[in-house]
Amino acid sequence: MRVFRAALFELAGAIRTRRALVLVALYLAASLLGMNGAISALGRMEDQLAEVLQVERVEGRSGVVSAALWKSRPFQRLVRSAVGDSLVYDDIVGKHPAELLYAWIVFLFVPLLAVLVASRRAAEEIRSGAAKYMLLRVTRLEWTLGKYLGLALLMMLGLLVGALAAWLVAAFRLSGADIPALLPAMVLWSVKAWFLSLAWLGLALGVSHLFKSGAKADALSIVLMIAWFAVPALLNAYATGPVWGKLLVLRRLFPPSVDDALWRASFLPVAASAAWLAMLGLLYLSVGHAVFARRDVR
Amino acid sequence: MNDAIATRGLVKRYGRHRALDGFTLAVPSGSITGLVGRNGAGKTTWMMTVAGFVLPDAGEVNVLGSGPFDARRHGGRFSILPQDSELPNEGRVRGLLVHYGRLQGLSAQAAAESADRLVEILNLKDKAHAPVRALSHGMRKRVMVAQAFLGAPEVVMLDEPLSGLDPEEAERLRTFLLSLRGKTTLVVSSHQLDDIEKLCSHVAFVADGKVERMETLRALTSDAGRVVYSLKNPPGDLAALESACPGVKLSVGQSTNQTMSAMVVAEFGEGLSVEAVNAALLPRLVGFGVVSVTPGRSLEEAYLGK
Repeated sequence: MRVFRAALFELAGAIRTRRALVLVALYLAASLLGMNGAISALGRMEDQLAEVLQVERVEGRSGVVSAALWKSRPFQRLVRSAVGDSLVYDDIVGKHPAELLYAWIVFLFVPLLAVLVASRRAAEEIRSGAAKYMLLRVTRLEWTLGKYLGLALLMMLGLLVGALAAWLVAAFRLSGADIPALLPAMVLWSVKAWFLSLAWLGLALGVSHLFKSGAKADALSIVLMIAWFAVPALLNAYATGPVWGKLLVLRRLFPPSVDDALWRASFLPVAASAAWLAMLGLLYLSVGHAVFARRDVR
Repeated sequence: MNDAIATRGLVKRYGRHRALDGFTLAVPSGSITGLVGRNGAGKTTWMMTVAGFVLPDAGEVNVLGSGPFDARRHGGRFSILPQDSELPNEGRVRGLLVHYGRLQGLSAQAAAESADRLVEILNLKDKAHAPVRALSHGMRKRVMVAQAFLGAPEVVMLDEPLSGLDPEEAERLRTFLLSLRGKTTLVVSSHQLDDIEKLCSHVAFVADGKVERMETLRALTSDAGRVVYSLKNPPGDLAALESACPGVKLSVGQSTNQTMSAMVVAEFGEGLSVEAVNAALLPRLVGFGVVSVTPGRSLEEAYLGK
């Protein structure tokens, strides 16, 4: 119960803190602009295709040709090779391009958003001394979990508002699709991205527990985020052969190696990936907390 | 009398420096105990250690007879006004207090009532709904004090509670703290010895990370072998005065009060009483304009002469 109260306080505090609000607003802007830009690009591509194929253009509305294009076998083969994973391809084939564009945008921005939202939250309260007023009333573990849960709620809120905003752009700009059906699809992608955000929140908040300086916590969080993308890629490239190949199992410790399954449509792989990402978040957080539990709060 | 806080042999090192070096102190329940010592003596580190913010390298802490501070056991029963610790800027005064009250286990109604009572006592009613960032330093300090008294804590530690307050608010807080005498155990750290003298029933002198002396205020200040006479004019021949009262040694101190020009300090052994010394000396000092007669010594004199 106290964890939940601490979480609600964290959520309210994060919303009132300009930095978190600005970051979510920037995410919203990026989501809106990204969606709008992607639809414009889609429109231009369709116009060119229509010109080449000498079919009738639909002025000012995008999506008609793309929806038809998905049904073309050569195009499907092209996408299959681009995606790489045939299971993922099977699940995304036939989905409206706007839905996939939204998914791509949200998966692109969520790691950075989560890291920037969380990286200062503990460090600054430790530095200012505000943490002491909480730690008189809740244990250090409750404080840590409250912060994590509060920031997770903030991310959920931001992602859902982002989905609604992107859907409004899509509804305004697109045709040839079942527009109302796009909203639940986009919300579902937001929920999947939220699970991805749990891992990155855990990483940044864990780092935040190590410092009294928000700037240092920011810097290390961003460095680790880049490293967390690089390490699985390096393992893929260099961990080969019967001995070094065993290192490939370490990829499971990094979100970029786990989040592919979130693109699937079937429940089991998505649920497994989501649970693993949440567990990774708690793992990273527990490392930060373990250090915090043994340090002075001065 | 049980001890509300008992620490034994506390050691805290920062590199080579020992901030606490065998700090042993028992704070009696219901007392108001003052901590007096120079900057860096270890007062704040001791408080932070008792509150669980600083982890000791060695020694024992016992809060309310149930071991070291643990928010699950002691939340709401033990509280502290930490030094130099900002409140969350984004919070609003009453909302913040209610939130802290709820966190320490009060019901919504009890938390609201407690917050309202403290807002009233600490003269924050006008600012109850203001964001913390909009408050002056003194007002923030009063909110920090308020959070320490939410609910009905059994023990409250206050690190420099009166610093930064204007004279009216300082007096208001002193009155509030005195109203808790006997009901709540208070530990007050301050460099203002006048405040400690007005508030405290017990005083601990702290130096070099340990307690050098812990006494009741009465024992420290009511020295049976000493009387101070404040005079308007210097007394002149001390030897003649001493001869009128055998067994009394007189010395002259410079008064810092502009209405007086001199202080005569009479020190005497166990064979004499304050009354006997007064009876012998006062008739001879009347001509010099006796302003006051103070048996014993002030806390400041006790501290500086320790």
